[in-house]
Amino acid sequence: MTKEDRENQISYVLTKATENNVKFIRLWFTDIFGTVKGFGITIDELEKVLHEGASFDGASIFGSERFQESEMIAMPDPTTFEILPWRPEENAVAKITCEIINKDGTPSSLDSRFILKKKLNELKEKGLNFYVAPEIEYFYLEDSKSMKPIDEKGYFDQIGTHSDLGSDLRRKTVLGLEKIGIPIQKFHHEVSPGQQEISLRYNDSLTMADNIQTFKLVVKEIAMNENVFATFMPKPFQEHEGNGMHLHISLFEGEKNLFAHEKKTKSGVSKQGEGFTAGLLKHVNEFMLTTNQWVNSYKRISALNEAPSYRCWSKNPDYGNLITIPEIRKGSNISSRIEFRLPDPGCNPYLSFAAIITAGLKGMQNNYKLEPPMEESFSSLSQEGLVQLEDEKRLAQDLGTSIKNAEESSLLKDALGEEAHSIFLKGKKREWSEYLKTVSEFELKNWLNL
Amino acid sequence: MAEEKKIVNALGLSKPKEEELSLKLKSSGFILNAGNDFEELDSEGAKDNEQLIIISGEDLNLDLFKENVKKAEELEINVIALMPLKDMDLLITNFSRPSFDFCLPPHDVNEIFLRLINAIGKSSKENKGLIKIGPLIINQESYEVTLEGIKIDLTFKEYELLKYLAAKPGRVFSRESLLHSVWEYDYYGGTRTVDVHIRRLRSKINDIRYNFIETVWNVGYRFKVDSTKNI
Repeated sequence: MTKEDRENQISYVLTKATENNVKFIRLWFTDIFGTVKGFGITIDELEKVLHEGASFDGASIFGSERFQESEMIAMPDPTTFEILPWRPEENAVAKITCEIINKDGTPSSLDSRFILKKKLNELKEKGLNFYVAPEIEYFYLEDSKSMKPIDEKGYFDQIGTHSDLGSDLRRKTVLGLEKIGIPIQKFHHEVSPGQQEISLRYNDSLTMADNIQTFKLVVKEIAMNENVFATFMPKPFQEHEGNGMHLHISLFEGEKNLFAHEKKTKSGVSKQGEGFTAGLLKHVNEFMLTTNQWVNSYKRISALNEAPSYRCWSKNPDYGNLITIPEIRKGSNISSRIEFRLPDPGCNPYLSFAAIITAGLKGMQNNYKLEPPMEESFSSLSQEGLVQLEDEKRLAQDLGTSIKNAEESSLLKDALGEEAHSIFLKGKKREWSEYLKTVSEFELKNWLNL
Repeated sequence: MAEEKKIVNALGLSKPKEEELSLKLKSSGFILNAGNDFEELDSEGAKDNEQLIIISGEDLNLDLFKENVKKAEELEINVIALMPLKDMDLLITNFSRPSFDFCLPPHDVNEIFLRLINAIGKSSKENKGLIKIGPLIINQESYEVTLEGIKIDLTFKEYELLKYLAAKPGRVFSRESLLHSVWEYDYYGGTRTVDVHIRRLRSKINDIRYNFIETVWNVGYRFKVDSTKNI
């Protein structure tokens, strides 16, 4: 960015802030485990902070792995300035996403945004652009304690049997998101009671990662205003479906969609698309610690229902498959894509995208061969077939296994950088060891009689 | 833009002067829109050249003259005053704005015309920050975009994209060239990003009557010269 461009953007932000009576500005960034962190400044400080950044205890980007304070600088990205639509119009509140830089001006290798940017620079050198469109699922609950969904509706239901609060909230949320510059493609009630799904319109992956983080906050805050609790926890209910974040992925070279096939292929995507898909299938166990990072993430994957369980792909959105390659309508090659069904909304999108790009590119550049699709549904498989599938294709079923796979992976080190890889693993190991010590209700129910 | 007939507003002209001036202006492609005070001006016409007005005091109705000038000052409209008498004191004590110009009696029509042309030239220079396309106005000083006077909220990139397209109506830009000109080089989107922003921009400025941004298949986008839809 030239200095002049930045000055121009800063002056735009200042004008808009004054015009809209903005009084407070939240400076946002994402810690290594995907939580949005931040601190506030008043309008009087904005101009200085836009130019020089703001000092803060940078150790907060370590998330739970924060041990000692270290002063860092949050440098706002003026293009991410937005006024928060659920806040008052007088003394309005705005947000701006920040990069984290060290005191010497170099970017912090633990800044999630920087980790993704580094990957995107590699892509850029090759003339490639990576686009993502997520479908994000979450539950509306009556509160954070009772675990009661706000309705009893089901898939695509329009009218509720109990209350219509869900669709009302969804509408308010969609309007709020549009206002804040996050375009929505579609939204509907999901399979389980209280469960919603909102699809964001595709965008470049950095903007999308910023948008996903903002999205989660917008959903939660708007729900909170109505005394409803929104959760993106991967699997809050044992008896219901989990929350996924399917990603529709495409790769462009200039105006050309590299996944679009010129000659008809069996898979429905080009050779490059097949290579990329094969890369994800082959390396997923190494990087799924980023896309599915919590103990609870693996409860969704192990449930053997709608969430993927096996490293297979298919052309139909059949349950259990990791990747779907959707049939593209004739003449709309530009929208060729693959749907990666593994991630959950509890992930750090910056780290996840960096890992997905690394694995996909590896497959594409080394011409990995895409295996034939899984054509049978999992429920109709023979016993032998199922055993073979379990042996060869099972995704990691718990965080411990996933940590082990990630720790040894040079691919993940390449995706995140050594330092971030090490801190991330450290945090995950702590979580796993604490979980292993936990005595669960399941155990009490079954073995208290011993 | 409809350039051929520019309207010039005037207040308090005597009948003979009105006819004389109207004739002079007509030969140069202007239309005179005259009245006694601001209320009397046809509001359609007043919009067209609202930055400038001729206010006459030739009939010696000093109070009306002063009132009209005062009102013009409040509205921040540039004034060419036809002074009622050769009284420099009146000029000095009542009118101080730098955009103020005047003619002394006998109010020669050629002199009025020359001062008018001079003032129009000046005010169009002052308005350099404005891009005006029909009902859409982009103010580059205040970053404000209005459609029929109603403010439109745009993000910085949407604003930049609109400004870039609207500065050259009719010209077709490829996605690639828009990406280069509007987005800085460390941006990570590609040409599809342009489509995303065009879509959002359209949803904000296009409506049932106007279609400003046109897709040119296999090429890119252009800002239409005539944005009115045929409905």
